[in-house]
Formats: sequence, C-alpha cells, structure tokens
Amino acid sequence: MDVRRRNLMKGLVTGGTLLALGIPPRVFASTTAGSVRKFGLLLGNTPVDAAFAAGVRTAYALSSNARLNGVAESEAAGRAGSIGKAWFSPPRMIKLKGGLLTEYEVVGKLLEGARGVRWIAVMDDGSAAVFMELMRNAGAGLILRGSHAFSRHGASGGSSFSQEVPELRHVWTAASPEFSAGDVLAEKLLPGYNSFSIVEDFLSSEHFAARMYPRRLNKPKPGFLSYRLDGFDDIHLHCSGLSAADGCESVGWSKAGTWVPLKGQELESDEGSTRPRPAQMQLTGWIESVGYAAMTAAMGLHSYQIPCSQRAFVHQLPLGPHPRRNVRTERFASFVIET
Amino acid sequence: MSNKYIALPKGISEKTFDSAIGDFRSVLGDAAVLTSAQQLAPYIKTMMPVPDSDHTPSAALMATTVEEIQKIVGICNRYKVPIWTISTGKNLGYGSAAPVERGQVVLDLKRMNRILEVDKDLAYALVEPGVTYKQLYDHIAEHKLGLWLSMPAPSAIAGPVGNTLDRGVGYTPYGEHFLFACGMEVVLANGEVLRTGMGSMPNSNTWQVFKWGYGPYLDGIFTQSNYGIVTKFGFWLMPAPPAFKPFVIQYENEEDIVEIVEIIRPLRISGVIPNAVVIAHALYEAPVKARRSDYVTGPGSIPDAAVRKLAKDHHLGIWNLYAALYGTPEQNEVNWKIVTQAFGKSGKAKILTEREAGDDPAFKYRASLMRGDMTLQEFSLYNWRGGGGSMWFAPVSQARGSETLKQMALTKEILAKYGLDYSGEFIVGMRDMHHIVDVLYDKTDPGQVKAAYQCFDELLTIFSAQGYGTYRVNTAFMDKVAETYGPVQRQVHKTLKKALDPNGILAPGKSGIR
Repeated sequence: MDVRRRNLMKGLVTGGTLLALGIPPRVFASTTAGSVRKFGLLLGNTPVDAAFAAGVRTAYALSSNARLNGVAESEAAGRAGSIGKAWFSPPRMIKLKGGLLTEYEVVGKLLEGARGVRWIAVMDDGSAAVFMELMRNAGAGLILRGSHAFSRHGASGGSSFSQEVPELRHVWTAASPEFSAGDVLAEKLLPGYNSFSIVEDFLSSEHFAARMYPRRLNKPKPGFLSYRLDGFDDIHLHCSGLSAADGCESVGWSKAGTWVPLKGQELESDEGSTRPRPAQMQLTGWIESVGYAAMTAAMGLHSYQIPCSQRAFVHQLPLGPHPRRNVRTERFASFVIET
Repeated sequence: MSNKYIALPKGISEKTFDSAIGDFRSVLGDAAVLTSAQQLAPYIKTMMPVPDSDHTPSAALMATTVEEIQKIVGICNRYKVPIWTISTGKNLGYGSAAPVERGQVVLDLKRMNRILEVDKDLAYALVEPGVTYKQLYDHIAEHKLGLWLSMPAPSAIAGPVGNTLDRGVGYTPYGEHFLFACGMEVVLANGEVLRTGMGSMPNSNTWQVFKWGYGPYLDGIFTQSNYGIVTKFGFWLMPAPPAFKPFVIQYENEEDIVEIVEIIRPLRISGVIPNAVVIAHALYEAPVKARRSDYVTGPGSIPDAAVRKLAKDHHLGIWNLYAALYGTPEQNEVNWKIVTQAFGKSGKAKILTEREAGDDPAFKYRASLMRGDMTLQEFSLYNWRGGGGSMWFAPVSQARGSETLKQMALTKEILAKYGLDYSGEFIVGMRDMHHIVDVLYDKTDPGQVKAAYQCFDELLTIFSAQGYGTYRVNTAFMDKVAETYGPVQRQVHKTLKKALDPNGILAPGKSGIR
C-alpha cells in the first residue's frame, strides 16, 4: 500500500469514528492549542465529579482514537495543522478532597506552578467564584466558563419567575467561537431531554484561526432551525420544537427584532429531517455530556467557524405527557483555562 | 464591535485606542498590557443581573511602580482613555474586578505587592495595593510580630488596600477598617503624588501614627471614589491578645432580633464586647451545612417552616450572634459574666462557647474570622441558590432593636415578592449596624435574573424612601444609590472630580461620580 493510499484509508477510518461520535470530521482539531502541551482535569469534590470526568475521558478517547489512526489534520480538518502533538496526552487528574474553598492554597499553587497546561475543571458555584480569582492571580487565560443547572423551577415546574424556562440550562462564556461547546452539547442532549437551553457568549466574535482559511458556510444543526437576528449577523439562535420568538423568550433575550434563517438553512429543511444520521455515541446523562463538550472545546475539536458574539440553542418538546425523569436538582460550574 | 479588541472605551476609535495601547506597551512592555479575550476574560465575571458585556474591559495594564502609574495617567489624559483601578480585585458580589463601564481599561496593581514596613512596637503596616492578607499574615507569622489582622470574608485572596478603600469590614475589634487607616500615597490624575496627613512633610516619621496632619483631612475622599490612585497605604494592626474567647448565642425566632440588639448595643458601646459582632440569620449560615434543595424544590422563596426545620436539623438558631472577648484571661472572665448575665435574663438565648460548638463548621469559620485568620467558607453562600448570581444589599441601620426588625421584615418581604430568600446578617458597629443581605439568584434562569434586578432596584427604592441609606453597592447600581443621597452631595462629588480629574480618566462612574 503506498503512503498516499494508506493515509486515505486512515482518513476514512477516522472520519467514520468521528461521525459515530457525533463530530463531523471537517471541524476536527483546530489549531488553537498554541503552546499547550498537557491537559489537566480538576475535580472540585462535587456530586457531579464522576459523571463530568467520564465525559472528559470519552472526549479524550475520541481524540486518542483519531491520533492512533494517524490521520493528518489536513485531511481530518481540511486544513493545515496537526493533531499528533504531545498535547493529546491524557489529562492529569487532580481531585480536591476538601473542595476548593478549603484547598484554595493548593489550587493557587497548582495554577501558578504549571505552565502550558490546559485545565478542564468542575466545581460548585462557591468554589467557581474563588477559582476565577485564583486563575486571574496566576495570570491564566480563560477559554471557557460554564454554569449548568437542572432544576424543576423550569418550564415544567411552574416557576414563579417564568413559565418558559427550560429545566436544563447551560450558560457558557467563551473567549471566541474557536472554543464553542454549544454544538456538541446540543447534539448530545437532543435525543434524551424534553427541554433545554444553551446560551453561549463569545468575548471576541472572530474565530481567529479560521481567518486563515476560506470562510465556511454555517453548517445546519440537525434537529434545529437556525436564525440570525436581522441587522446583527453575529447573533444566532437555534430552535428545536419552538418558534424563534419563543426560543428567544426562554433564554431571556429581547423579543424585539426579526429572526431570519441563517444562510444554509435551506439544507436543513431538505436534509436535516430525512437524512439518516450517523449512529451517536451514547452518553449516560447530561452531566457527562457537559464534561464531553468541555473537553472537546478544550481540544478545539468543535469550533464555530463563523463570526458570532452570542448564540443560543433552545429545545422544547411539544406540550403533552412526557415521562418524568428522576433527575435531582443539580447545579455546577465548569471551566477550561490555560496556564 | 472592534476586530482587534473585545471592547473599546466609550467614544474612542480603534485607531486612537491602538495609539494608546502602543504607548502603554512602551511604558510597561508587551507582556504587561493584556488585550486578548483569554487574558481579559478573568476580569469579567460580575455576578450581577446585567450582561457581563456591560462591564467588559478593553485592556488590562499591570503596573509595578509609581512612576509607571504616573506615565499611564499621562497617556490616559492624552487619549482620554478611562482606567478602572483594582488592587487585588476581590470585590465579589459588588462587581469583582470588572469596570463600572464597558471599555474602561483595568489598571491591575496586583504586582505592586511589597510590604514596605510592619512596626511591631507601634503596631502598624505600610503596604502597596497588591499585598494580600495572606502575604501579610505570613510576614507577621514569620517574623513573630505578635500582631493580628482584621480580614473580610475573602480573607486570604483579598488585600487590605482595596477592602479599606471600599470601606469594607472585618470581624475583630479592628473590624471597621477605615477607622484604622493611617496615611496614604496617591497618584493624582495629573500625575502628581500626594501623601496624606503627616506624609506630606519631608522627613516625618509620624505618617502611620497620626491620621490628621494639618488642614482638611483628605484620606476620606480617596475611599469609594475616583479622585486618585492609592499606591501606598498605612493602617493599624491589633496586638495579639493574651486570651481569645469566641462564642455564639442562638435565638429561635426572627422577632428576637429586638432583644439581641437591645442587649448587645450597650455591651458594644462600653467595649465589653470589643469586636464587630455578627448577628447572622439561619439562611446566612445554612450553606456551610445544608443544601437548599433538601428543604425546598418548588419555585419561590423558602417557607419559614422549612427554615425552622433546617435550623433544627443543623443546630442553628434562627439568629446566631457571633462575638468574642479579647484580653487577659482575667479580663475575659469578668466580661464573660457580664455577657452571660445580660443574655441570660429572658431565658431565650442559648449560649455556646468553643467547648460546645468548636466542631461546628459555621462556628469554626466565624471564630477564624474573629481571630483574624483566613477562611473562604463564607462563599458557600453561592451554593445556596446556585447559578452564580449574587449582589450584596447593604443598608445601614441604627443599633436599635426595633429598627433591625423593621429592616429585616421589609427586606424579607421584598425578596419574597420576587421568589428570593433572605440570606442576611447584621454586623454591629458601635451605634450602627451594617445590614448585609446576599441577594442570591440563578444566572442560568433568565426569569430569576430579571427578578433579581427588579428586586434589587425595589430594595434600594423602598429603603431610601424610608431614609435607609446603602453604604456600598455593586457597579450596576452605583448611579441609583448616588441619587438617593441627594443632589447637593452629588454636585459636590462632581465638583471635586472636575477639579482633580478634568479629563475624567479615573474610573468615571465609580460611586456615580463622573
């Protein structure tokens, strides 16, 4: 087998693996890792640690599989770069037995002492407030910060605040669309949850690495109808099971303005509902999915390649009897940072 | 939106800002001028119910010397670029490190972290703004100076300069921090360096021991203000007492706050109890021990019955008074008798000392703070509601029982209207009380975000209408609070601002002053 043919075969194998994992190969491995050589996983002694870590490990396994298959990034991502770098070594796991509010000195030293490490972290909200301070002290860069909640105060719980708030909610702030986690999470949650929302704020609307390549069209999000706010090309809304106006309301955005289909939306109506979708890797729960999405963002596996300052995914099954999940109220924060 | 920067100062073009950034870099070096999203993101989380984008900085500058700061203000004047100064930036629940207005450049002084002097005999310290309590604590321990610090809740990660300049409090007898400040060095907007009090006199050795100097006392105008950049700060330290006796007194009903305050006031004013006493509601203490969702899962504020059950389950009073005695064992013994007799009269109080409550997590962290030790346990509060939303509502009350009950009931009623819980405490000064309420809400729930904003706005409106002023507030509501103090004070603040900072480069909007 000549080299060219071998590479092609490996590319096909890897492409199939990625599809099975729900990640389109063309977006695999952005060049965002920079000087990062290692990954770390920080578990803050919360009830969600194990599930979150399982999601991180699954995402790592994906990258590892792809690397073992030896695909060149130029084939997998359709552009220059490399996924075969050292930064794909397994994340070093640190567990805070007493939680960060007790072990803040340990974490401070950890962040100040480690350079070139991309950390994925999960912790409670109290710890998250302190963690932000420790990472700023250490001069660390913040790539992604998430706040995640499952509570019955949402739509089905009859909240005193709003009837339209989904029970499963995620708010993410990312440095740029390069580190988007929304697509991956939306895709993982869609099959199993009655309602959810994912809001992403991007501090910089530009995907800097993507500037080097021809701009891609928006890829349709299977199961969602996608819109942009008329007059604001960088504000996007992806709705499943509800109108743009209702989706807007359920994430607290102003109802003023007109939502128009995003470019590429026509493909959605033609293909999105009828095209057989690749088999999805099943994650056991929403917390695991968050860990998975955070890790894919940390690896730059699923960056959003069109300029965007804010976007949301909202899913709401039509009203009617749905089996109640026995999911307990849970809230936690996630981070991807770079020291 | 700018392509190069995540935000721009109001009214400044990208081209002008490019020039300013270039000049900042020539003074500080490239590595000390931060402009990328990843570098600036850690400055942005505010916890307030407004978009973080309203408080996004355009850049952050890491100055290390007074001379650099003088050059920075020169550049700011040249380009009319506003700066937002932070020392350690740990003003959690009040806006953290983020600027009051989008696009302001953060001047981060964390690298100005020299402990310039700690005098054991005269018990004072002179420090730069980036010095943390932890640094000072370690310095005192290492040199066996026998001095205690007074720390706010963020203790280890915060610093004395920022906390005192924002008129924060601690829990030792030196808990009213600005009362113990003595001498500042301030870089003015025109680049001149002012030393307040005795510091203006060449060769004076009384800068950190005599506050007043000669003529109008100036230190106060550099607190909660934007008239200058404090680069050195003196303050007094407490000699370690020979004995320390922390205790908690628990009461079972909300109305008991009247009795508590009527008993504590004379003890505080006479100095029997010397420290900044805390009277904490059960819901303020609960997060170190319990999860809200174990007691209530529905919408709305937590019912009183659930609070009573929670208090019983976790050995809390509905009110929990934390105080301590400081002195020789003999002094403490005499004062302990006075305290126990005063609180024992009605039969309602349950008095616990370290012997009975020493292992209780709430008592432990309170005792640490009253001893000037470091603990971050209070931030368990943020887990109560979850979702990362928090604003401190901080009206001042007379130290009079009827007033505290009235404020508590009014606050609770307004919070309940919006489905929020009363997580409150009173910090007892001599004759006043800081009524501190953490308005906690879930930032992932847009309904709660909206409710929290409206609730906070209503709290400020109703309280000011009843003559209750707020002593400190987050950056989203500074203008509103400034309004409540009336037009004359606002105009005086503005006049001072125009005189000291005619180009408005220093933190315009801080405390509503522009």
